Amino acid sequence: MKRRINLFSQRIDNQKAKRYLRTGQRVTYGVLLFGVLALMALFGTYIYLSNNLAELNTKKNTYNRYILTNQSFNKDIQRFVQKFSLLKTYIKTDANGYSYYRDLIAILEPAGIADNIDTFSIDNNQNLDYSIKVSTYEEGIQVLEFFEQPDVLEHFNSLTLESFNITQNEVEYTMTFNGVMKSRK
Amino acid sequence: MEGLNKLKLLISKKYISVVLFIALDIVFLIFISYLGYKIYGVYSETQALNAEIDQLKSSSLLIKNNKDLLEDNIGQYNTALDSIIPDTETYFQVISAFEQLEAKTGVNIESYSINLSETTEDKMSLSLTITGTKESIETLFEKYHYFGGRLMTNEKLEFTPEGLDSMTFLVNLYHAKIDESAAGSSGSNVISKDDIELIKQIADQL
Repeated sequence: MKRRINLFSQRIDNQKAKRYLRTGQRVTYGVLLFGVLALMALFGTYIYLSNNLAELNTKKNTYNRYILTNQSFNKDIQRFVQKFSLLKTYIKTDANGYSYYRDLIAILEPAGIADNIDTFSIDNNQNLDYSIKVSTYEEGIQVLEFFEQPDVLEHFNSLTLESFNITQNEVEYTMTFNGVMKSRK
Repeated sequence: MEGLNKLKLLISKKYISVVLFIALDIVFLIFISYLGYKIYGVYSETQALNAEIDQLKSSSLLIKNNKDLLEDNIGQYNTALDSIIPDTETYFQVISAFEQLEAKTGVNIESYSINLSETTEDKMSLSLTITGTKESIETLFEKYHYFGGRLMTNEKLEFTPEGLDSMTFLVNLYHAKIDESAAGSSGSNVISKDDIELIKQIADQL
């Protein structure tokens, strides 16, 4: 029996292998080129960051030395700043009511009704309630006219007459106002 | 026979170069990963150091900006601030503050009660029942902030001018513990001469 060798088929296999080989070569060259470039870039970044870190460490040591030299004062000033900041925060919640009461007295004085304040209340947002008591109807009308004057109203962000009551037995007219005084903070 | 040919091809020059390049690629990629990891570490360290430096810088600036103005008397100022806003609150401190307030203004504090709904971790809110002359109560209205040796605030003032001999007066007393670990978080504030003047005025009233 004769044995036949198919030389043509063998050639095809070799060509295919060579084609894969060439592609493989290109890919490995590409990867290597990318690797070299990436490595250079990363190495440059690493050196830059390491230098930066060294600079920052020097900076930190300088600040630390300065703080250490002033250790006692540093402790005191930290305490001072924190407590002083708290003081300013807390004091802002204060109504400072009596100074606003005196302001109201000063506003009412030209009308001669400063002594007629019956009740007074103010909170830390300058929300104000007060009542004025007079003994005649005419005086009551004068008070209302007084509070309609622009130079009086400019002391308030808002002001409204809440009620106008008459006490029959004593013949007293009580006007209750509420509004918001202009802040002096 | 076919296998033998393939084996020959495998060990041929071209195949060996490809294999070598692949090995080199793998080495490069491992090295790149390692360097990337190292860079990430250095970067993280830089970030942490930057934050630390910012705090140290604030502390340094705080010292630098205020040393000349405060260095000689900061102990006294802190004593005044610690008196008006102590680190802790005790029953006896509150009683003592009210006694001092009575002595300095002339009012009588007949009783007091704690407003639990208004009281917080650092604020004690109290209602005082007060009697006294009109003058003494007016002095209280003007000077209550520091006359008790403590910071006192009043969030709402309510009174009847004609009956100013007895009233209810609301006060808040404060205490706060300083956070020693928060050094640097106070910023680089510059304490002004007005601030110092305020502290001096407070100290004079204690």
